Amino acid sequence: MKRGLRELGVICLLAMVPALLAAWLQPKRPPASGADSIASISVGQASALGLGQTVLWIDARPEAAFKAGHIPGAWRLTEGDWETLLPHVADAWSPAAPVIVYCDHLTCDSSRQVAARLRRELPIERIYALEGGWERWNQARKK
Amino acid sequence: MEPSPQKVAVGLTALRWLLAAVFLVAGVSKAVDPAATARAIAHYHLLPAWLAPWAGWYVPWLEISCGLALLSQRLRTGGWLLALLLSASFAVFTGSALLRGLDIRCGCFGPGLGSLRLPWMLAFDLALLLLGSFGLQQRLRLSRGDVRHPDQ
Repeated sequence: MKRGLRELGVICLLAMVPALLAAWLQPKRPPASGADSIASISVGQASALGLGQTVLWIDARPEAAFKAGHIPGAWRLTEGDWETLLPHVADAWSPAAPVIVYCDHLTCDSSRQVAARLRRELPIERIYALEGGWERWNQARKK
Repeated sequence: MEPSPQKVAVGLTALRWLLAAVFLVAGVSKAVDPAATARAIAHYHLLPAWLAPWAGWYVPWLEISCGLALLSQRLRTGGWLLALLLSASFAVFTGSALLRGLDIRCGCFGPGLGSLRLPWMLAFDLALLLLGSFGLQQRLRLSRGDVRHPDQ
């Protein structure tokens, strides 16, 4: 077993060499945060944005969470069900409307992932990730 | 009745090649797009956000190294051990995502082949885990000299 552990250490070290080389040379570098750069918007700013125009809300949470409660008028869109849900979102979207994507809470990242992919696939000019997500929205609503 | 050492050797070699092929395919398909791999890892919300891009670089090459070690003569025991550890880690990631109700795809075979649903992937990971632990157990038996056969 000792020999196996020693070999394991050698393999893990050997794997670092091509990984570091690839990190140095390869063009498809992972972004530092794991997501493309998407602007954040606070609940207050989002409410102000929605006063003069229609905002398209996108809920990037699992179906069960969406069914338990969501921002009124929001459309669900997740990476897992992208192909099924995107046509509904595309129908609801108009080029003039800003899009705000939210997930569960401050540390969740799916809103940024969905927003980044949405921006790549639709010609959306203004797209934001809601800071604090559904949790912050709920807190603000109860105040 | 105990199978003959030759039969055990053939079975173990076939299992080793199968696992090596799985890890090589999984590793190469992820290594070509580390950004997609980093995103897939980040979706599990188990690692800090700053660590996911680094895992996006390292995990594919760890899988490729595991496949190559299983095919090699000198690092074979370490290869079995790494196969077991990787399968266990994947099962933990997939199982925890299922328990938390995350609505994500596994990303286990890169962006091209990675559209498997989590329950299927968990079954696949558990099968790999079983095969890996069986292979490691046999390999350690051989190393101890309990059985002698050509796979040694």
